This record gives sequence, structure tokens and C-alpha cells, in this order.
Amino acid sequence: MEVGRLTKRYGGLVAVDGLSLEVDAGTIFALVGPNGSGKTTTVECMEALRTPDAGRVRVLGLDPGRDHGRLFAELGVQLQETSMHARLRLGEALRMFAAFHARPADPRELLRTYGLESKERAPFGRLSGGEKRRFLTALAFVGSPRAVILDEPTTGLDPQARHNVWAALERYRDQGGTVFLTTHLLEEAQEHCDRVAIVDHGRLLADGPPARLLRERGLEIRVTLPLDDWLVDVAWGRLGATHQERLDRRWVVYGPDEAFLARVHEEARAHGVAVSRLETRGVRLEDLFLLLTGREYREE
Amino acid sequence: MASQVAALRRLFGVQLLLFVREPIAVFFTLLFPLMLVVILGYSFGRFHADAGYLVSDEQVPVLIAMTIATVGLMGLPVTIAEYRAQGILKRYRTSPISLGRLLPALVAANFTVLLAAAALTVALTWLLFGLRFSGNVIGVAVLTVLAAAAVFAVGVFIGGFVRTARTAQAVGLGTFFPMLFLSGAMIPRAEFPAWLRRIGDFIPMTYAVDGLVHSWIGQGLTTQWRPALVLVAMFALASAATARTFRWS
Repeated sequence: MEVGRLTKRYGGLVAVDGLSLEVDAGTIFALVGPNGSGKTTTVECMEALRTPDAGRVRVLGLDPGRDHGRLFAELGVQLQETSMHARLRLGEALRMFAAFHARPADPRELLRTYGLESKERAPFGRLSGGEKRRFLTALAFVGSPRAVILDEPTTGLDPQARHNVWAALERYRDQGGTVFLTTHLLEEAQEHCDRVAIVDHGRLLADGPPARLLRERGLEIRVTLPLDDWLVDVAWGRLGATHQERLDRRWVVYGPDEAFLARVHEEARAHGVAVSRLETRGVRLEDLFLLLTGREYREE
Repeated sequence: MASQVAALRRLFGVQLLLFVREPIAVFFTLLFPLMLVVILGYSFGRFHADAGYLVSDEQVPVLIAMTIATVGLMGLPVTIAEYRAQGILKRYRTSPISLGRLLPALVAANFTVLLAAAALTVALTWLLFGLRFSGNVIGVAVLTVLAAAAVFAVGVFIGGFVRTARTAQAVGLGTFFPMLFLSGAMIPRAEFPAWLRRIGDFIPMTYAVDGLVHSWIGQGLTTQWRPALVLVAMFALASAATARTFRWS
């Protein structure tokens, strides 16, 4: 999958602004960004639901706008706002969509993978929210696709379901499938995705394997210090922090290694602050996300 | 894509199944005309209509025309608008099936239900009142198909451009009742003043009722070519409009 310098405007608003992405076959790729950052528009351009104003989109080597039938024969899709007939049973819906494909997956097997085997005869409308989401994810795989695009596949699922859905996606990837997904659950993206792209205001802010994104920026260790007067005097350059920010009544410093941590401890002790009052943990993808995109509320 | 025929058959079967699982649709399409057979038949059925026909005979084609309007104007627009509002259209759109297949399958399923309703109407009338039919079976069949095509196309057009299911229902009903009354299905058009008849000239239901009644009481396609042609034209017009105005979301 490939998006090259994609631009899409709605009236005066630029939703996607020259965004370029490349997704390698056989990987799990996550597109993350705040609400209104252009994620959905990008995905919809890849699914031929919208026409780009400029730029190039290729999915499985096809132009979504032109090769509709061939594209969806090999691309599975699960969109947030899609649904299924409320009175149609899960087995019936899967068998119908299976009939649209040349080499469909086994509907029973799909229901088992997504924990819905006991619901084969249940109408879609009777499912809980999480079951509906799992079913629509299962439905994306009905055509034995070479690639899938999934919109927030694990949002609203319980921990067991999330674990099983990720396990299914990783198995699919290991068998050569390509997964392109969006999510707000950055902890999951960090743990399960081979590559993450962070976008905001329709532009790419970071793109790469999660661990590398943090390492490259020297964001490995995060220490929270109680806000005391002594901190005003601290020369941050001396600590070798790669980033610092003030949150409420605390200071947060980010650094690359153990040496950085040792210097922070030394500085704290020198100012009579017990090391036990420092909160130390590894940097998470979510930290980078907030550093890049800010902490303000976004409009839905 | 798998076998196109198998895909279409599955799609058609599911649309039919969904219709049958909708109690309100089943009532208005299959049972309501039968209630009218009983009520109208016992009230007026013994009166003489045209050329030796009883009212109970002539009400059969009228009820078939009415059912075409029920399915096409009350059912179809709401179904399509609901599919869109619930994101079901989008789900089909992101499958190898295109809109050009979904809508015909949906229309075909609705037409199948119409045929079932027509068969029940004929059967019940025959059972209760005896039925005289010396018309032209082929003519009735052709006009039923053409009338359904024209009226269903109007319904698909409505469902294709309104935003919500509620609007679809309002517009559908707002089309259904004027069409029903202006077409002469309820009150003979001969009773209308000229200006009212003139309005009726522009709606497909008028030609549906006219063509069906006349072919039912024995006039062949050769004399019914005018309503037939008008219905074909109206079908083409509504379909072309749908192609331009249909929205997925």
C-alpha cells in the first residue's frame, strides 16, 4: 500500500496535506492521530470512498478509484460507521459475503477465531457493541484478502477480546497478510504493530517501528520530579535531557540512557530530594504522541 | 469474483429473507390487500362494472396496482435510506459487489414479494367471489412488470437521495397517497374534473392502474401500448435520475 503526497480539502479546510505513507506487505501498520487529524479521510481515499484532490494512492498495486471490483476482491475492510442488517444472522451474512469472493474463508472458522461460534444463528442486531465490532472485523477477512484496512478494531473490546483479536491479526500477518489499521490505543499499537505513523493536521509527524521512533529521539527513560524551587536552578543541559515539560506541579524529563538517569538522581540528591520521590519509567509511544500533538482537547 | 450468478442469487436470497423478517412490511404487502379483498368484495363486489364484470373481478388489478405502490413507495425508499443510515450501503460498497448489483437484487426481491401478494389476492378473490378473467395473461404479466419497474424506480430514486429513513418515509407516503388517489385506483378518474385528471396524467400509477385494469378485462397489449410506453419512459427517467443523485453516505 502506498500513499504519495495525498491532499484532500473540504471547502477551505485541508483535511490531508501532502501525506505520504508506505506500508510493506506482511506487516501490521498503525495510523494514529488525534480526532480530526485526517486519519479517516486518508483511509477513505484508500477505500475509494473519497476522491483525493491531489496525490497518488495505490492499494495492492491498484488505483482504488479505478479498479473497484478487483480491489475489494483482495482487500478486506472494516469501517467504524459500517454495520450489517440487524435481522440477518451472522452465519447468513458471512455466507452471503463469502459468495462474492473466489476463494472465501470458512465462515465457521472465522466465527471461531473471533469468539462468535455460539452466535452463528444470532441476528446481528442482537449482538453487544463489542460482538458487533468483532463480527465486522471477521467479515473483513471473509474473502481471504491479501490485505485488510481496519478502523479501530479493538476499541470498546474487553481485555480477552482485545488479546484474541491481536493474536488473530498477528497470525494473519505471519502468514503474509498486510494489516493497515487506525487506533487511539497507543499501548496496543506499540506492543503489536511493526510500524506506526503519527499524523496531525493532515501531516506526517513520525513514521517507523515504535521502538525506533523513541530511540531515535533519545526518548527511553522518563522521570517525573516533584516541583520544588531547586528545579529552577537545574541546568538541563547538564542532565542531558532530550525533552522536558511541566505538568501541573511536576516536572517531567526525558532522556536516552542509564547515564542520564544517574545524573538526574545525583542532581536530586544534591538538592536534598530523595530519589524515592522520583517516578521513573520507560517512555511510551503515548508520551511521544502527546509531545508531538499537544495535550489540548480535539473536536470530534 | 466468484461466480456472478451465485453471488447475485445469494444477494437476492438475503434481500428476500430480510423482507420476510420485517413484520410491518409483510403486513402491508401481503395481508393488507387481502383485507381489502374481503372488505371491498363484500361491500361492492356484487355490483356490475364494465362489460359483464363484477366489481370483485375488477378490484383485483386495482389491488395489484396498489400493492405495487405500497412496495415501491412505502417500502423501498425506507429500506434504502435505512441501509445508508446504518452504514450497510458502505459495507456493500467495500465488497466486490457494486451498487449496480445491490439495487437490482433488492428490487428483484421486492418484485418477488409483489408477485406473491398478487397471487394471494387472485386466489382469495377466486375463493370468495369466483373470478372472471377473460383477459390476456401475457398482457397482464407485461404490464405488471412495467408498472412495477416504473413505480419501484421512483421509490429507489427517493431512497437514493433523502438523507434519513424518516424523510424517506415522509416522502414515500407523501408520494403514495396522491398517486393512489390521482391514479383512479380508489375513485374512478371519470369522476374527476378535467384539471385533476390532467395532474394524474403525469404519474406512473395512473398508467399502472389503467394498463392493468384494461388488460385484465380482455384488452390485449396492442391496445395497451400507450400506458406500456409511458411506464417504460418513466422507468428510464427515474433510473437516470437515480444514477445522478444516489448517495452512499
